[in-house]
Amino acid sequence: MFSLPWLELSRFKRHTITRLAIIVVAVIPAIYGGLYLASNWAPTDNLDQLKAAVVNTDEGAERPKSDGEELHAGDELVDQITPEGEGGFDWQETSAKEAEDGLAEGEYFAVLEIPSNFSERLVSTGGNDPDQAGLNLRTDDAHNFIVGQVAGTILNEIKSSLNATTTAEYVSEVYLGFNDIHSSTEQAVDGASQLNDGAVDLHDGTGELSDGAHTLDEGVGTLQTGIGDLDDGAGELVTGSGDLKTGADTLATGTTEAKNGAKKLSTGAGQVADGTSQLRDTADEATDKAEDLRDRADDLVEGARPKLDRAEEDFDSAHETVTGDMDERVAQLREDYPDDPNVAKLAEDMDNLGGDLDEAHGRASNAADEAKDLEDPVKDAVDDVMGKIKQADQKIGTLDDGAQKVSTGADDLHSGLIELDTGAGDLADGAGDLHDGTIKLKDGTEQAKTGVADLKDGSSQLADGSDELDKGAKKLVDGSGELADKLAEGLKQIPTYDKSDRENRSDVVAMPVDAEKVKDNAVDAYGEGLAAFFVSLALWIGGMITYMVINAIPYRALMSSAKSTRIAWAGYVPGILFGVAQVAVLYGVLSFALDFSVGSWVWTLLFSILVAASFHSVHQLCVAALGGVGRLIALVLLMVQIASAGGTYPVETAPGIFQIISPFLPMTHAVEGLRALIAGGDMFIAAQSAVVLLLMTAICLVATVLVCGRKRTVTLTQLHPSLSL
Amino acid sequence: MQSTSQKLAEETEQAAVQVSLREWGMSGKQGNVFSGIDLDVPAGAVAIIKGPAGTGKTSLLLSIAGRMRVDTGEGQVGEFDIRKQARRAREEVSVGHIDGLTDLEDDFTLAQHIAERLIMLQPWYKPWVSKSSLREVIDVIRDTFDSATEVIDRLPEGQFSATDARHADFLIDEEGRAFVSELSELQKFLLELGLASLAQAPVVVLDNIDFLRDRGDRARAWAAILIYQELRRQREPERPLTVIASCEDSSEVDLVLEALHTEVSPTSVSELPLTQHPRH
Repeated sequence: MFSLPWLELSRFKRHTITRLAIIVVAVIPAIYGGLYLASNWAPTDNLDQLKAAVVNTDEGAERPKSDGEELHAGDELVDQITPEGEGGFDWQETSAKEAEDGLAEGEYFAVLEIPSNFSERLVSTGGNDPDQAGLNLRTDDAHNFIVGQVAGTILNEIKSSLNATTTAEYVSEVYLGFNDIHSSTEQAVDGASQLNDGAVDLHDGTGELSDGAHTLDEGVGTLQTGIGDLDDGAGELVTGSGDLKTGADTLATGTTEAKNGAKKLSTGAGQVADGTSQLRDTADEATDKAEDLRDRADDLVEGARPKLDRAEEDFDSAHETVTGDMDERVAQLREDYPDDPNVAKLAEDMDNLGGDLDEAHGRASNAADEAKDLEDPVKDAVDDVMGKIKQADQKIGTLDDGAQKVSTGADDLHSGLIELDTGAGDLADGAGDLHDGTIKLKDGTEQAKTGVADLKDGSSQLADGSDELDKGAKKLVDGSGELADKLAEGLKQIPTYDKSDRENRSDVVAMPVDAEKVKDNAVDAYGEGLAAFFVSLALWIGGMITYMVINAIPYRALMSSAKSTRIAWAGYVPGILFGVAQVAVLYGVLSFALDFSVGSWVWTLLFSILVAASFHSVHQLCVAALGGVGRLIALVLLMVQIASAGGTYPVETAPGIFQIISPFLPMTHAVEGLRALIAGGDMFIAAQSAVVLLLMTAICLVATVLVCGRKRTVTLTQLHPSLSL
Repeated sequence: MQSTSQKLAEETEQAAVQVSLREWGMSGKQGNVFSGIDLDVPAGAVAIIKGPAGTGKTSLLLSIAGRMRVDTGEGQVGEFDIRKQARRAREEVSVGHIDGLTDLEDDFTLAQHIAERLIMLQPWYKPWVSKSSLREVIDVIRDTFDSATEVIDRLPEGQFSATDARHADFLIDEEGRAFVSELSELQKFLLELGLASLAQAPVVVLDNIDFLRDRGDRARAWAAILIYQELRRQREPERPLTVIASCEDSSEVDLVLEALHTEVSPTSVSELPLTQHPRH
């Protein structure tokens, strides 16, 4: 059976030197990690190899409340720490001078100075003027910095041990005071229950206050509504009184006009009455004259009739004269002067005149007839007229009487209207005053409204406040009740102690806290804590060495028809086999040569193999892509990762740049996962780290495949050695 | 240099063109490596690229094999465009020998070399090769040598002898346990050819046969190439092997062709002379 990784490894089988190379590659990480961890495995366990000086200048002091008993705390301390393996360092009591010189020369790594007042101050805790006792530890960083840190820890231990002793003595005194506290507390219980009773009363009172305040608040609410209505009414009243004022003014104007009109009417009616009086007089005269006129008309009729008869008779005689005498004379003339034209003409005219006289006679007869006929109608007409004139005269009398009455009435009207006008003027003035008054009323109601709103706020606040007061009183009740109860309970718990009990307890109280550190997933030694980091470093170096010895990819295969994935894989698998070997040897050395233990061997080994796999994939990529430069880059990556993997101090304590790049470097996750697995911590962290490492491995492998693909074609530069252009 | 085509074997049928180059040219920082190459190699033919050192023979071979990029021209290997389908074209061409690129691993045994190449050619899910299948492959190679010996045996006395076959046979032992460092230059050359032939590609390129210092070795190498080509033709008449080789001096080819003309029948044998480009 042949397989590619095995073929790659079999290259080394042929010669002893190449076989040794394989072994070296497998062992180097173990040498690196093992040496470093071995030298730093448990430095603090060997501090007793370091010499330190203690300088005791303590003068001792008398204990308080004792009969001359003295405390020599300095001596006690020296006795306590100087025996071998007791005080951390190898303590040696020396003089101050020796200690000074020894520290300067590096013979002593630390000097503990016990001051002269050490005991004095220690006993002062029970007195009236307590003071802290001081110790002084000196180290010299010029000789070793770390020892200075460790010495601080040792000093702390000494300090707490001393504290325990001293405190015990002091606390014993304290217990004596408990009986007093007990009786005082009893009084406090009484007081608290009285307070509670008072608080209950207070609470009742505040309850009533609260109810009252709410009622007040509601009443003020109603008042507020009422004032609002009142204000609305006042507003309407202002409007109405304004209208009234306008109306009264109009009325006053109207009555004044009526008054003036009535005056004119009165004057007119007087004139009418005067007129009708005159008319009555005149009518009386007219009646008299009409009587005269009738008499005359009667006379006229009586006189006219004989005259007419006479005229008729005149005419008859005239006619007969003319016609008889004249006709004969004319006829004579004619006979005398037959041919004279004048006579003919006179004859003719005489004929015409006779005709006219006949006619006039006829007419005069007719007129006499007619005058006779007219006589009665005239009489009747005159009688009729006379009747009517008498009637008119009567009516005019009546008219005059009426006009006199009208005149009197108009006068009365005028005087009445004068009074009305005066009254209307008064009314207008009154309406004006009323309007002014209502406006003031409106202003007043508005102010009242605002005031009532304020009042409402106040009463609401009062209601709320009284509620809170009530709640507060309730709390006071509860609290004071609780106070009384708890005080009573507390009283039961306040103990009294007898002497032996007191001493026992004093010791416990002096060291009430067990200052032992409890670390989760504690590692056994300093070196084990650093192991995660140095295992990672060792495996990185292992990867570098591996790909210095074996080919990153089988270059020969690039010219064949093989697939690039196959070629990359063929280069990677031998590397990872070396990785597995490196992991195995490394952990073998750690577990056998050092007292190294892990939480879970299976998972730790598997994870370490994954770490190696991931590192080797990085190295393969670097070398395959860049050759020698790739190895240099792997070295640079190593340095960067030492700084940013958080191997010793957490990476958070490093400058920002390291924290930024930290998650992108595989060693960070290797250290994290290994730490969790070695200490036996959270497997989730390890699983997370494993996923990241797997991902990084996959990315590197894919990149290597791409690199292989690119290397399938050769460039002139690569070919150059065989091509001399 | 005289012209290109010198047909020594009879043309039995019009063979398809396996490799074809037009205006093929490459330039480097110091000027043209080669330029304006026109080349047609029929399937089953032998093409010899001939020229003194530094005339770009290696680059030309690599560019035909799709392992080096050219700047101008068009090229076909089989049905694939060398420049546009480089990956497919690469699969069509096996690289038999190119100094510095196909160097054998001295600390490998023959069997390991063969096994390595077999595994490389297998699909990814089969990353091993069993001893029995390796054994089969070694048997095939051995058969090939036996057949070649038969071919030589048929030749008249004084031409090639069984000694030549033994010189060429790199299978020193049955199991292939001999290390590469124990082989002669000729045997290494033929081992490289053998490894290249495992891919069964239709074209194989071989660079600088002149690195075989012994004239007799060069003749044996040419003979082995031609006989292997002939055996391949007999085994797979449909897929004859096309050989493109480079050398500085082709006189041994003529000798071998003359000696073997009764036994081998390449489609054609042509020479492409390359001359040094003037430096810029």
